[in-house]
Amino acid sequence: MAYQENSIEHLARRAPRANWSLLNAAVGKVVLCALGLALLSKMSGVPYAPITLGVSAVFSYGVALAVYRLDAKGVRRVIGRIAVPFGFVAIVALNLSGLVGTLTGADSVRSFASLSLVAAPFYILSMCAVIADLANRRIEMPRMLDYLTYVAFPFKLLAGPLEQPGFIRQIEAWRPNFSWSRLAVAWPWAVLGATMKFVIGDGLSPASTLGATDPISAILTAAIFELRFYFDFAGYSFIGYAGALALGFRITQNFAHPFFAPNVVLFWRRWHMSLGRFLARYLLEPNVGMIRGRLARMIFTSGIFFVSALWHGGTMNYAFWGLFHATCYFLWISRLKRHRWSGTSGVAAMILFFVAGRFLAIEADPHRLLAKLGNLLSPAAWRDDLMNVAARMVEVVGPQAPYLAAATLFFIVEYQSVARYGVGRPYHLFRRPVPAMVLLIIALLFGSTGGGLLYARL
Amino acid sequence: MRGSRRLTFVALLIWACGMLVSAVVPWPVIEGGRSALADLDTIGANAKASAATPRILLIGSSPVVLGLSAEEIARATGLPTYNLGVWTALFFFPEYLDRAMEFVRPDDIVILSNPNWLNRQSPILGEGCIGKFSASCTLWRPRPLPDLVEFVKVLSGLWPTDFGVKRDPVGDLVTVRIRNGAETIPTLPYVGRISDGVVADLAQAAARLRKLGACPLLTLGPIFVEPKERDRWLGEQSAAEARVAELGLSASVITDGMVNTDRSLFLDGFEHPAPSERVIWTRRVVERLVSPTQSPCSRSLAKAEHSLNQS
Repeated sequence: MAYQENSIEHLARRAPRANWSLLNAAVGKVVLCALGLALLSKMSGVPYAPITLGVSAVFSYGVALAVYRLDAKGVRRVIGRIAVPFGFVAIVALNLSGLVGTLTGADSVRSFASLSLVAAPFYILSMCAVIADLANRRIEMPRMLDYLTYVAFPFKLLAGPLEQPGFIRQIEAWRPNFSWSRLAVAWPWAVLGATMKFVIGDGLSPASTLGATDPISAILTAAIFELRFYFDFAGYSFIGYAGALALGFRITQNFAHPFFAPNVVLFWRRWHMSLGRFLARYLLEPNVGMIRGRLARMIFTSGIFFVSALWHGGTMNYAFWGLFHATCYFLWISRLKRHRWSGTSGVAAMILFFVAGRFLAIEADPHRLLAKLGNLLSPAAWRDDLMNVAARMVEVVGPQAPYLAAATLFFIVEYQSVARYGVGRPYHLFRRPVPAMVLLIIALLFGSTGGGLLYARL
Repeated sequence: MRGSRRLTFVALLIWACGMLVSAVVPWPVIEGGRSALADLDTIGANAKASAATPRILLIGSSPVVLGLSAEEIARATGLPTYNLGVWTALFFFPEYLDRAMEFVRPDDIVILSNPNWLNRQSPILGEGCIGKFSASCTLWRPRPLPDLVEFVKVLSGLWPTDFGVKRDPVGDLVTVRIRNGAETIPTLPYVGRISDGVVADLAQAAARLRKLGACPLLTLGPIFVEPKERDRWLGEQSAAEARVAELGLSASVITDGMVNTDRSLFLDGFEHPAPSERVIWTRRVVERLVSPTQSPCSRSLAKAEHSLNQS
């Protein structure tokens, strides 16, 4: 009895505190949603973009609820299997119809879509994944506010880490509070990201030579674009990671020294990691078991790259890009991995892989892409280029030289970090107290703001 | 733990100090704005030295530098004409306009084109930040502290003056170095209804110039748009024209000709006219200016003719 009284008294004492904590969390989540929508509005430049997202989120919540309440196990299983593939198909269809543009498209394919939803492919996949997970009973039906916070989560920075619905559990359990220790871990990530994006990434802008079809200019432009993608995308992913960490969320880091990967498979485990994990979870794992035969399974696995490429945009360049990566992946897992590769040949092959992939991905104009590919095979074009090699180099590399030098310096330190701490502690050398402080000063002195988020494009 | 807390505190302090310094660095020095204002001072001094009254002054940003010819307008009207447009003025247009207004005399004809009237979705958030201390100015300046370096350059008198644009004494373009001559250039995205805001700004600018005793002629610069969005833009143009008519500004505002889908009329950006468009835009302005029925500045022109006859 005494115990009961104590317990009631204890509960009565705790009740207001618990209520206050819940209210605090609810207010915090509303603020997070508002931040996410404000960021979307700012990045898209379209005042009604948050309304589009809000309506889509509420609609998908309704669908998710209906799926969750479904009793028919067979139907649920089918929905669980097709929800995400349906999302992919919907994105490609929206892209082909011009309603949403390519994710990283060049200006020639910029379609200022009536949906005006920047980073629509990210939002659509998140919503479809929730439906799939509810259908498969992987998660419980979230509350509306938690779901909206998941969809609009500001630290995903629209097109940063593509978090899986399991993240909703973190949102449910979240209570806003201040922690010096979290801040201490977060700020070095923030300055690392700011340096990568605002000091190096934004400075690398090879778009002016995108139109050049001669082999040397086209290859150099592709190489610089590859660097731009890395520094920009990884940079803002780390900034988002730091922001989330400071508030008590753990989201995917998204990058872990991808250019130091020794092969294609490991590269894709370290580049845009959240998308890789997403594809594995929702496309590969549910379906690969149904495929008979090792070769067929390898082809299916490689084919996912093609789907991933079309998710970026339903254009010819992305189709080529997807085929290229699928082929490389297939060749590696089926044949090349059995051979021993010398360090030099491995590095050369990986550089070729990076540049060739980007060469295809950046050129959205199909005629110009074919012209570039034709010139790569044309001895006359090479002869002409080699006679003017210095001029070509100055034209393409010249304006980017300081940023390329900064990128080179960054890679030297990154190599040291990998050598000393391994990939398991990514970018650790940059996050040590003194280097982090140096990066902070560099970011303040030489960083530019603005420049947009590379993947958050219509 | 205490060490990491102290370090975190120091990092936050450095960051806050950096933002504070960026907030107090004078805005005109950054992004070459200082050099643009120096151009304005040079051409404005030439205009000031001209005793003739009235004169025609062209005010605007790079589209005006590239797209209007002072020489052609002077030839057609017989009035001394100066192109006071400066490169990058769109980033600090209110401040630039204040400075340009100092060169305006009563009876002058001012042809004004503010690129921000149409390009409203672009992140030109630094606009209006000179000498202003506010959270938004601090956060959204195009470059925070890096311009400290530029600031030092300015203090030492070594600010950059070469935008690749060479101009003659009346401000007309002599040569320009194209930075992005790619075959494809971005179009100006359509982002929804903008005409109401545009017309309100036009009315405000006209009132301000009239207050100085000058005759305003406001023109929306040519923009390059997607063919599939042409109709929407034309809809905006019609809406703007209707609002302009309601406010009795029809004669003072040139809205037609702004919407273009022809790539060849643009140099390296959606609002940078090529020489061919320069001829077209200049002709459109001259036609309105000398039109016996439509010219909003017939009084200034008559006065000019009178003083010409007397001399």
